[in-house]
Amino acid sequence: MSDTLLVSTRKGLFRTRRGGGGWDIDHVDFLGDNVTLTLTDPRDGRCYAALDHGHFGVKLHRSTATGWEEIATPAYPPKPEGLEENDMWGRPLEWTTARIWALQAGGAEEPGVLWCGTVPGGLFRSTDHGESWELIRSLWDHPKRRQWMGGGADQPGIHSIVVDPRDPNACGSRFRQVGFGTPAMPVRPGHSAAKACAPTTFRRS
Amino acid sequence: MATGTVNWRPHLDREPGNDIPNDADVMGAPQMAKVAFTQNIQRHVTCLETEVAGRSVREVLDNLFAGNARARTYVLDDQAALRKHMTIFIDGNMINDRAHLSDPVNETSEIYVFQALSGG
Repeated sequence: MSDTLLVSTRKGLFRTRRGGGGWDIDHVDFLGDNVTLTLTDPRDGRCYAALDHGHFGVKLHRSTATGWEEIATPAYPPKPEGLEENDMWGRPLEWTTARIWALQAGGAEEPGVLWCGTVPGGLFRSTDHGESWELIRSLWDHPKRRQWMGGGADQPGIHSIVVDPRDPNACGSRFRQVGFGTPAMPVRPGHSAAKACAPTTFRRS
Repeated sequence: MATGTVNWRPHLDREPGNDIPNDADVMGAPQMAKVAFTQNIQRHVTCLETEVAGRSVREVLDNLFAGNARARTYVLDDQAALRKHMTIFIDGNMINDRAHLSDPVNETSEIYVFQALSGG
């Protein structure tokens, strides 16, 4: 069991350590900023912190030997001109990252691979430690996306990502699955399996 | 709307003669607008006050962010629209087109990019 705990809060990222008298805060990063999520990559020890700056949007940072550096935030491609998408309340569905809601390291044999789940429901994959991100279109283009809902937010989101530990480096002919209560669908051939768990209410769809 | 920063300058300094078109303007040289950001955004990314060419807010920001790509993501969203809780004023008037940023800009325009106070 680790003796270090990273605590993401609206007022910063607190590192706590277990001592003889319990847990004590021994370091703070991003003091005063809203840190919504933190991932420690077990493969190389790097940390990733998602921040929500409100006015300035969502940002992603990666730990370095001396501190933190801002890296690319998963971003949606341009919405096709003329495309009108509304949710079941008639509200326009937006193609912009409103929140980073899940971060997950790829398989042990896929150094640099990261998965990111976002509000409004896009799943992203990086192969370069978060320097760049690619939207998984097979999930985003799912015909039932307009019915996604739930999770306590105004927009749907991917809150959990589970990488299949069995064989993340399988050959390219094998399709991996994203399952969330609807028929399983391919993410991309040859990529590590990721199971995106949409909100519970969505599971019933 | 408000900036929420104590050091925010309500007006940009401008030399009196700058309002008079010079030969370059008459010859069709790019129009230069002054653009300024709040102190608050400087906590995250450097956005210096500068003069930028462009005939619309879109052109001005595209030219500005061409040399400061990281700042772009702080002001614009994934669809290149103005972020929901940001606002832009041109010569004291809030822009109308937040999606396409088509509001016109001229060579004497002073553009302010800052946070909006949203809600009640």
